Parts: sequence; structure tokens; C-alpha cells
Amino acid sequence: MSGFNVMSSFFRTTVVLIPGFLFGLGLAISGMLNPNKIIGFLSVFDSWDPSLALVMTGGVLVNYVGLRLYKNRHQPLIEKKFHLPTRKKIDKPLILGSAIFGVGWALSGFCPGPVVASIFINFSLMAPFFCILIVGLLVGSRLKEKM
Amino acid sequence: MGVSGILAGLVDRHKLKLWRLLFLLGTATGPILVMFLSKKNIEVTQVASLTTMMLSAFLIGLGTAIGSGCTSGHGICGLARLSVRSLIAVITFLFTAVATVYFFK
Repeated sequence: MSGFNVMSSFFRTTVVLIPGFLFGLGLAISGMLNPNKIIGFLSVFDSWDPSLALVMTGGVLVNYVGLRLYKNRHQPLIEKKFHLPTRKKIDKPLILGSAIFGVGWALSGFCPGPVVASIFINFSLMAPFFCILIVGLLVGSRLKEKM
Repeated sequence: MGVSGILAGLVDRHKLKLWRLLFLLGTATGPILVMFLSKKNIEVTQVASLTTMMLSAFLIGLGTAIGSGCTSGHGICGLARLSVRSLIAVITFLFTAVATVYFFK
């Protein structure tokens, strides 16, 4: 492998630090790391705080425009092709899994992105949280294979 | 495509690890910069008992693995791709989350 290829492979891998970092910035600035804010958003029937809907709307809009502008005309900058989900079927695992996730999200006010983003801010709480989440992922992927 | 998918790939021996780790490292350090620049602490509070928190963590992992995605995967990437599966997933987890808060908080 030539020096250039080693460099470009190094670049291709490390460049993901940037979107990861931007994602972390966005989560922190928008208040997604504050579980009380999440619970306030979910308390539709009691002093509802709808502001977090703007986070999702903003995220979806930017993502939609970016994808539209780019996807049909180009190959990705650092990959040969896009890796997009292909499944279309509305099946039992989709509904059951999402329903379970919703309960978990509401109990603590955390979803996976904010768990990762807050791990260094409150390590003693979020590091065990992170580990148990991983255990749940492993159990879940085993169960899904049998569905 | 979302964070739960990236995490699942991290513990799947058939999937590449390094870019996933780096993405997550970026996500975990971004908020540190926000605290540094704003000179304000970000409160990451515990809103329930430790047992409930750990139950929550397990259910989040379990549910996102079975349901193939979370708020970022289905909610942001999926909706932006106009995926019907993701729309159904988002409606489902919002419904159970709102119901959980209504009955238990």
C-alpha cells in the first residue's frame, strides 16, 4: 500500500470524528442531555413543553435537504456507495422493539445519543447506564434473530 | 444509521469497530466543548431511582435492538429518508413514552 493510500484510509476513518463531534454539540446545545426537558416534552397531558419537537424537526429538515442535494448525483465523499437500510416491511419486531424503547426512554429521559454524549459529564451515573444499555442491545439482537 | 445502530455494530464481531468508536468519541466530547465555551455546567441529572435508571438502560438497549433504531436512527435519519418503517417506529415509541410518563411520573 502506498503512502497516499495509508493516509487516505487513515483520513477516511478519522474524519467521522467531525460528524460525531457536531452531533454531540447539537445534543448539548438543544437541551437533549437534560432528562427533565425530555420528560417535559413527553408530559403531553401535564404542563407540556413542546420545544424539543423543534430539535427533531430541525434535524429531519437538514438531513432531508442534505440527502436530497447529494444522494442522487454523487457517490459519498469517503465511501464507494451509500449504505442505506433496505427493509420495507412493517413487522412485529419493529413495533414491539420501538414500544419497549419508548418505555425505557421515558423512565430515565435518556435515549442512546444523549447517553453517549453525557458519559464524560456524569461518568458515575452514565458509565453503568451505558454498560447496561449494551447488555440490552446484545440480548435484543439475540431475541430478534429468533423472531 | 443512528446511535443505537452504531453501538450495536460495536458489539457485533462481524462489523468494523474503529469508525464507530471515533464517531462515539466525537459525540461524547462535543458537549465538553459546549460547557467550556459557555462556561456553564450541563446538568446530567438522575430523574428516577437507581433501579429504575438501570431498568431504563436495559429496555433502551433491548428495544432499539429489536426495533432496529432509536430517536436518531428512526427519528432523524429514517424520517428524513421518508421511510414508512421509521415513521411507524417513531409513532410507536412516542406513544409508549408519553403513556409511560402519564402513568408513572
